[in-house]
Amino acid sequence: MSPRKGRVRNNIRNLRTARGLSQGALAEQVGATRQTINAIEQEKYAPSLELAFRIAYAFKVPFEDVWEFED
Amino acid sequence: MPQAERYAWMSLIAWAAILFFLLTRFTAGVEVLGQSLGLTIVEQSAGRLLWTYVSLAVIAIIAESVIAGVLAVHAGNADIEKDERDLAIEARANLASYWFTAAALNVIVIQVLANAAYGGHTLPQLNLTSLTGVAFALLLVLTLGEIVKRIALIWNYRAA
Repeated sequence: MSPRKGRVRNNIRNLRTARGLSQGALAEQVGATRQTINAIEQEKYAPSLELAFRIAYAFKVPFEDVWEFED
Repeated sequence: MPQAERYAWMSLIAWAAILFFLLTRFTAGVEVLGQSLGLTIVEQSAGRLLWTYVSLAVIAIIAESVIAGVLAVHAGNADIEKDERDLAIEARANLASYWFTAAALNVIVIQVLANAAYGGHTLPQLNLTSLTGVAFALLLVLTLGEIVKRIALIWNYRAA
């Protein structure tokens, strides 16, 4: 039996606005397009592990402060 | 709108025009924009079929090149044109196009074999006994496969 599909939640919008960053500026820092950052914030797109780490690294916070897995 | 989605819209319009060209070269029926378009396949010589195929290929190459050029000029110094989400969406669109093409080719094969084995019915059928019919069916599947890819690209950009 395959496991139930979970959901990747994130705290990017809060972290980004707290730092006064635009979606475009964050996108540039992590090597993605603004549309991808927007899709991630809206939780329509779950990024690769590498991009997820890049985003946490851009905010200089631990991974688990940005990402959360909801089963 | 991301570059890749802009490309998909422009390319979809180009392929719709190519489909129109294909239909006007192969079919007759009603007059649309001065061209004959319909459900009746017009039998043609092998030379004209080859010329149609070459024309389609050249038009497709020119259209895609012009679109790529226009988008490249428009993009200017944009840092990132495609990222992992664009590639994931493109992979999904390629898969949709592949399944469409595979399904369409299976329908054609089943149609030919079923007609040969159990002919004599009054149901609509493809005329694949002539060279024109075979060429039209295959070119139509290839063209529709490209259109399905662009529609899937746009759909995925809107959904994800």
